[in-house]
Amino acid sequence: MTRSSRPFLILFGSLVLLMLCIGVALAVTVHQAGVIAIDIRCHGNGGSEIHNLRIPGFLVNQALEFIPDRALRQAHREMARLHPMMREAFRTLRKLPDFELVRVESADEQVRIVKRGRDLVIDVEDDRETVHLTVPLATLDKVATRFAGI
Amino acid sequence: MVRAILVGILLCSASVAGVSAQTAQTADQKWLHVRVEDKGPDEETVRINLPLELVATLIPMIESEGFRHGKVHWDMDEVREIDFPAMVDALRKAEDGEYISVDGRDEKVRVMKQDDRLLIHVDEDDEKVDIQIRFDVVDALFTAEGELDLVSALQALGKEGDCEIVRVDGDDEHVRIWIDGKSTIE
Repeated sequence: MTRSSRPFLILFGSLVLLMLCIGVALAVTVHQAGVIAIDIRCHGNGGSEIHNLRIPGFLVNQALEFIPDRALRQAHREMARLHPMMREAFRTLRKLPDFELVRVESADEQVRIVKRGRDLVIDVEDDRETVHLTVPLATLDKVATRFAGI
Repeated sequence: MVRAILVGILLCSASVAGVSAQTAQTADQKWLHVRVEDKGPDEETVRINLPLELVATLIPMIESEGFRHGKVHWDMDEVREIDFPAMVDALRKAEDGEYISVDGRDEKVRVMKQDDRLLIHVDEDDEKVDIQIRFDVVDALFTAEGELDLVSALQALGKEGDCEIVRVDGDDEHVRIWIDGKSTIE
């Protein structure tokens, strides 16, 4: 290594380290926010289907900030009352082991709501369609907080 | 430089591991189970499975008329003469047996004491209701005058082993509410 190339290598190394740190920080942020998974399959002909759509919860959290307050004014009134309870529910759920919260079985419909890891998993199956939804509890908390106007 | 990168990666891995550890299982968790079976034309079964910890956390946050901070408040004027804690204490010390028996044309009601439990049995034409509640839970319920403390009662319920609280057996509907240590839906 020549003396003239040393500053360049240090600068290059620092940049690589910075990029790596940003990448890791971003990965941690995305991991913590979780991923929303949507899978809708219609039975029979016609109707729209969504196959395994995955949206990082991080993006939803950011998108919530763009909803104007005036659009949520009505929701603010309703949610402000419920928000402390919802926030506490999501916080407690995150600490708990995985479990099945609700199961509804009838002749033409099956609904299951499961707490799995840091997500709430909702499965609905009826004659017309099968819906699978995975929502991170952190995202639900953010949505409730935004709708409560806090 | 390489050492710095390794330290950075290790720190990030540790934070991710910390997040994963949040999902660690809670020991000795009690679960409140509700099962409603509708055997009518729209046959349907609803099962709800809730950790008592979650219920006890959320109940104090519910506010409605006559219900605040996890307590049911009643109008004392109507029951001022009744000393509920003393009544419960007397019942606890009493011998096992049937204490109240009401035989109506359409309904029979029995209130019994058996060991450490208060049993209420209602028999109607098309429905049978069984409620059983331990005395320590009743004590917790009547901790203050003029109110029923549901949170304390829930905490008392969680201290003991598995128990069935309510069973309703109707012609078209069966309801069961019970507590156990299982996190699974039966």
